[in-house]
Amino acid sequence: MKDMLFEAPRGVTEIEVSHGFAQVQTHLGGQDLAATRLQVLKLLADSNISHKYLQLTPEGLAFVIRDAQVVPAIEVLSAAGFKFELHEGRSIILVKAPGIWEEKGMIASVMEAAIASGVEVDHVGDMHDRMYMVVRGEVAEDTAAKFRRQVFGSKP
Amino acid sequence: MKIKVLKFGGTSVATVEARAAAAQRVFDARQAGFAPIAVVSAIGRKGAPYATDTLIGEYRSVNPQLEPQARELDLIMACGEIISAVIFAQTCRSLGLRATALTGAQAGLETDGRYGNARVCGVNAKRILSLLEEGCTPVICGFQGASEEDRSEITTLGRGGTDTTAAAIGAAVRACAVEIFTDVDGIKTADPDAVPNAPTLRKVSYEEVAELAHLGAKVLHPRSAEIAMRHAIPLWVKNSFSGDEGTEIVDEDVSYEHELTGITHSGKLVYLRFDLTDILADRRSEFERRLFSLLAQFDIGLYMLNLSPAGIGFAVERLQFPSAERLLDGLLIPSENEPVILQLGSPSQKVQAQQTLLGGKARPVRVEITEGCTMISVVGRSYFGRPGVFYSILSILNEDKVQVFQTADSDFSVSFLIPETETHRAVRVLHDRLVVTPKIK
Repeated sequence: MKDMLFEAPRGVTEIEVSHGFAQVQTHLGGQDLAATRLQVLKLLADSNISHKYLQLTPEGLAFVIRDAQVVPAIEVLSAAGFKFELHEGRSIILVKAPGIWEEKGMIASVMEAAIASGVEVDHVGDMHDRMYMVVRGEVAEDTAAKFRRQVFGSKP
Repeated sequence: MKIKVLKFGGTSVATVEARAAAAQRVFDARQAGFAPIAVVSAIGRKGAPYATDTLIGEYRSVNPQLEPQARELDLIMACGEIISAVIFAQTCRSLGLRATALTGAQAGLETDGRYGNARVCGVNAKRILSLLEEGCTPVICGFQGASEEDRSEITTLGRGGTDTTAAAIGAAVRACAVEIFTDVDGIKTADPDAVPNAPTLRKVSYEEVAELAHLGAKVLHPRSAEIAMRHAIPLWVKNSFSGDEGTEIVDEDVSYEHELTGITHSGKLVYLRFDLTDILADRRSEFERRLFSLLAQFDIGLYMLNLSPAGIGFAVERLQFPSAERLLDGLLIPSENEPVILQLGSPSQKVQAQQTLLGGKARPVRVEITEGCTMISVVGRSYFGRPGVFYSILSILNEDKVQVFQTADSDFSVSFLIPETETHRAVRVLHDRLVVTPKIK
């Protein structure tokens, strides 16, 4: 039974790149930040704008949208008077690593490698089986290739 | 030969009566024409004389100041399942079954050799198959195996490892079913301690159950679901103490039966937020590189990592927080112009001493600490990706005055970092408002 794979090997198993995203960072003021965040989210929901990788920041919210949602997002957020920055032409580097939360130090070491490679990471996050980084589209493939070389050596 | 693996958890073998009932299930499987294999956990839960936690406690109590040795911790933990397998094999024999107790190593389970959290890398099922051919029931110790590099070394599979053993054995012998017997009716839509009337999911996909388990549902270990998925082994979770049909875990998308699969909670976490507003942009990446390098070097596990112009945030496990605190508080990060000193919470003696030595020239980076956090998660394969999901969940939590520190999301789950004191209330309110009672087949 040595040829059977029972459990995923430890560490990074796959690195994927997806293109065609934008990152949004809001700069919300006000006394009740939680309520203002909800206003932004309701506005997006009512405008049928889906987003992912939502994070709560001291300035409000950060999230990622598809390129196709950029124009409507700008329109509705601007019309409502919310301050925000929108970074277009972003790509997502998805680092798949089953059980990454159990492998202590792994998330930090992926971040260290990313920063050492010189790439500017706009947005980052993790789940139990993956972490992702949002970077400028033009450097995404090169950065992913560097990661693959670091992780898998000469293997493709 | 139709092989069925029956796994019995700690409560299912905790008493003479429970063991007799479990052995009867093995007997019934044999009578129904199956070749049964039993996989057992240690007897009982914390406080029971041979339970895993009791054995660990006994070892640690020798000298609480001494760091436990991982290898020996595995040796003592493995004893619980060995005792259980021997007792259970004898219980089976008392019903007239032929049975043989096997350690994980004797059953051929090979691991990658990592003490305390080994992964299964092979199963040599020759001995198990030979016993089955002879009409004998193997009673296998869960949670343990032998290192493939050195077969004399016992390694354990981590919490919930007996489920993993059952699935791996099931895959190796191409079992027609693996049945996990526990003390609840199956996989629930929420922890019954938080939601006592949480319904049992009758059919759920491997992916959903693995996601639930990874995010805190305790009824089945996620690695067992992943092994079963990889080898398409039918998996069931059933109650040892009732005739309930249980939960069937299948290789198909059954999310049409329930929009949301469940609400889970997990982890005792501490949230750290580094305020980097005073760090110049051109020095920030060097600061971040050094910070992550240290965290990696000292094996600090991070959860819900996030970056923003104002700073960095992440959570660490409460057990690791003292190490993280020792590592980070007062840490001086050199720089050409102005060094930076980390200050966790209010300035400690260490920070003050460093500042005195440096004549107050180090720029402090304040790190806000929020202790007593936990993570709740909403899991549902067909629920995510559409507009308004975050708004729905966050507005429910906000209405119920549950503070949310951070969020994270994946393909079919979202997680929220909240105060641990609010766990049950938050799970209950989300369950009540979001989980549609699954259709009962």
